[in-house]
Amino acid sequence: MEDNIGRVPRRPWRRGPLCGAAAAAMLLAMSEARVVAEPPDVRDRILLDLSLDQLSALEVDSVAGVGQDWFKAPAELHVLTGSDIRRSGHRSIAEALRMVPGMFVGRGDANTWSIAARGFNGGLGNKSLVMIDGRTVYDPLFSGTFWDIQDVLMEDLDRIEVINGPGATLWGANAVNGVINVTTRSAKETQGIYLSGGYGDEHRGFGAMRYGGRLSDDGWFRVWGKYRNRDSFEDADGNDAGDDWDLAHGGFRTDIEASDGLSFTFQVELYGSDRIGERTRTPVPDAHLLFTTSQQDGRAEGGHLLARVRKEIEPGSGWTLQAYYDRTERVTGNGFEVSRDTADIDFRHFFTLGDHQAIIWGVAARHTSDRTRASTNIAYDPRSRSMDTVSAFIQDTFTIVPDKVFLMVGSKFEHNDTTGFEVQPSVRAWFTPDDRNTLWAGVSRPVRTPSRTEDDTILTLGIADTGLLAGGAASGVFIPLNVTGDDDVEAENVLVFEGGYRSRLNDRMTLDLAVFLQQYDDLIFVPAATVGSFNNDGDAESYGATISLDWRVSETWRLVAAYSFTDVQVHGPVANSDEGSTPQHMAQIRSYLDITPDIELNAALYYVDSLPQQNVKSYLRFDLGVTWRVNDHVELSIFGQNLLDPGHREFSTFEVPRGVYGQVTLRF
Amino acid sequence: MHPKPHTTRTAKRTDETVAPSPRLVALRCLAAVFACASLAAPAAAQRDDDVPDSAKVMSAWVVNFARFSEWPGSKFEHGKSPIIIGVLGRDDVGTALVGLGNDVAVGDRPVRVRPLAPPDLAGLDGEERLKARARFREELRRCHVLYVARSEAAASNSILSSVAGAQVLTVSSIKDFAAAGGMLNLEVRNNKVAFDANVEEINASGVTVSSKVLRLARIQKTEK
Repeated sequence: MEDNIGRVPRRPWRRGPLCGAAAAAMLLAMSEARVVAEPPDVRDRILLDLSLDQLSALEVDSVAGVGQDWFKAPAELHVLTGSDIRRSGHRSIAEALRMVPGMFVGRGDANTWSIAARGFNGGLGNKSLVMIDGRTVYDPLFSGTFWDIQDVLMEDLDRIEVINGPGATLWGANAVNGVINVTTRSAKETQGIYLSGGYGDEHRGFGAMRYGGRLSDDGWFRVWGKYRNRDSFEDADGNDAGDDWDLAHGGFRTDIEASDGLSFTFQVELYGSDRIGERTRTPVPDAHLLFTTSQQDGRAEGGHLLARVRKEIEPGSGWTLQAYYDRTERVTGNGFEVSRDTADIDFRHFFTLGDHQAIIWGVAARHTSDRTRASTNIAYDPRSRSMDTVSAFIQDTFTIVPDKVFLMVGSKFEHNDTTGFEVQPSVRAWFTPDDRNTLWAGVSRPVRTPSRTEDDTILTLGIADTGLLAGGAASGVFIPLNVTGDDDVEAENVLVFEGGYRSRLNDRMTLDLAVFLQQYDDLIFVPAATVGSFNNDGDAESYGATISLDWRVSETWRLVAAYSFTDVQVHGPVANSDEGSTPQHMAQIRSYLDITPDIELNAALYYVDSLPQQNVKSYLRFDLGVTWRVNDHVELSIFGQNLLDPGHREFSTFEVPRGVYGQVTLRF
Repeated sequence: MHPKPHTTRTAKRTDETVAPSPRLVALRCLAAVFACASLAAPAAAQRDDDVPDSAKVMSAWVVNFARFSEWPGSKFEHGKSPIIIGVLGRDDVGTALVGLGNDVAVGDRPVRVRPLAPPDLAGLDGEERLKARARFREELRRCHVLYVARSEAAASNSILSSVAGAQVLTVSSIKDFAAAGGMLNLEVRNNKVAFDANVEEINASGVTVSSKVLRLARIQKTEK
């Protein structure tokens, strides 16, 4: 390629909301016989001034013509693109979720995150479903997600779609408060060599590589690997959390596009770490509420095999068949061990019926089994357990008034070994009076099935002297203060009312507003004394709103601003840690500025309200990054993270520190 | 590329069935939003990004194909008559082309982008139908560049045979268009717009495409 490619203006036009409106108009107004010319856009004219080589080298949005589906979605859907994430400087999926309006991301320590929208952070986020490339990664052990091991090659990340609110009809149990769906690009779209590496005071060295090549005329592959090494956190007094950690992760993926709309995906990934640092607090036997604290390294390893066949019969009509096997093992710092094998198969078929109905239905089955080994304070009874889930769903979208009013009705039917048969219906309606406005509303009843922990755990919080516990003199008789699982715990169910409005205020500004009210019944908690068996004695309501504004200020500057309000009220004789663990107010402003076509300045400011239950004060986080594309192959970046303070608490006594790192990226 | 174009299935279609019901298309798109979002499909909700729309880049390529090609003098009425880019059917590239391609000139010749649609044959009797089809065929054959939009995927074989021998450079982003006998086939490859060139068909057509364009192309042959 010629030298002048380095001078290509990478983003000379910005795809503004205007052409989005045109795309949406095309989508819905195809009945007109004539092509309606899009108003000539001077910004696009620059395309015609580029040389052929420059035009060839230009990076484009790989998804043509479907850019505006987000605008008409009848749910609180937020999308982070690969570009949003690359420009943010966030180096993991968990961290990138800070950019989602209404999503709380709190770091307990260097390798633990608490992430949730609409409340109920539950330590590791117990009411959200997380999927990566079609694979469910939340762990049924505690209905949460081990965020440290959820990783992809960030360069190959296509996007993260987040539904704040229920997604249970399509996705199933646990999709109560949110669905986080991470998608990487196909092997076809990630060809060539990518190498990157960097170092910083918190990110103590990271590197990634990928090679993408062709298998045949219609087959592509990529093989990749990455490594990260993170420094530990400290508390305000400078005590080390001992939570430094690393992770190696690699994978292979192949995509084959056969004839007649048939395509195949196969992928295999492996990851591992023998240094997931943890400060453990263990009760001392035969002593009244005495604990020893020690630093121990845990370890984790695992991998998966996934195969998917997709057939597109015509646009909007086709089917997908996917199967995967996943294994994960973990040993915590205090010696508790768990391994899990999961096999999952899922079939979906979507088609149109007449001119007014679009139907999607599917069936799925999952087998998961675990083996645990008790530590001094964590045990499961039984030690090993298998669970089978079979499910089916159907969802029908009706056109009530062509191009304007739509109704979607659907339900998931699921049978699991723990709580039996669960039905999860949902009704949504939306109104698109024109291409610039969408008004939607929905009512859903998702459920969350109890986790293995809520069924079977024996968790020793402390050892107490019976006499001292009763408020008298020491008796010399010690009992464990346990939290125990109960097989009779039923599924939590939730009734969700929500609605929203999206509007293109003008050619450069898009507004997105959503409100919700969720009523929870039979919430699973431990009794108010924090000791005893899990039960369904909790009820709760939560309500809130999210508003975000995407503003393309100029050709070279984009601003995104968001604010969210969440209020959670828990009732019942339960140990309620959720009311005070959800920030009421959150806000963010993100700025993406191209100083020159080759130099980007990216900044983000986040505000998170206090968490009284976690003893966390409100804080501001400011990130700033500069990226310079030296030429078509070389890119240099420097990012400062959390620059406003030396450290602040987010979800524990350990502080999230300020950090700076530099990165070099090579692409061939 | 994709070795087996779906030619046998589509070739039997008549003009009347070329375009699916518009409502159906809209409904399918809606269905696709949820179907795709549900299982890691790369075509689900994509928010506006700061990278250019591939459709616009493709439309710029179509204009460049017109710029970097030569037609025999007989293809023009006179020295200043326009280069006609026909856009048959509808897709996002065609829409972008209508916005972008006019007001461009190649030497003394202005470029004109002309939206085309298959004739509406409803209510016409047999002879009128034949006439309407013949008029439509002539319209296609008058073009210098014919962009076949993705809405016409099912009819691409009959379109290609309609313009055979008329010195029309055929371009499309329909999958396997070049393998099916089309000349230039745009697609997104590795996040960039790239294209296949069916050099045999180009040479046979009488249109000369500059080597500046062809050296950037991947060569494709017609697959029978």
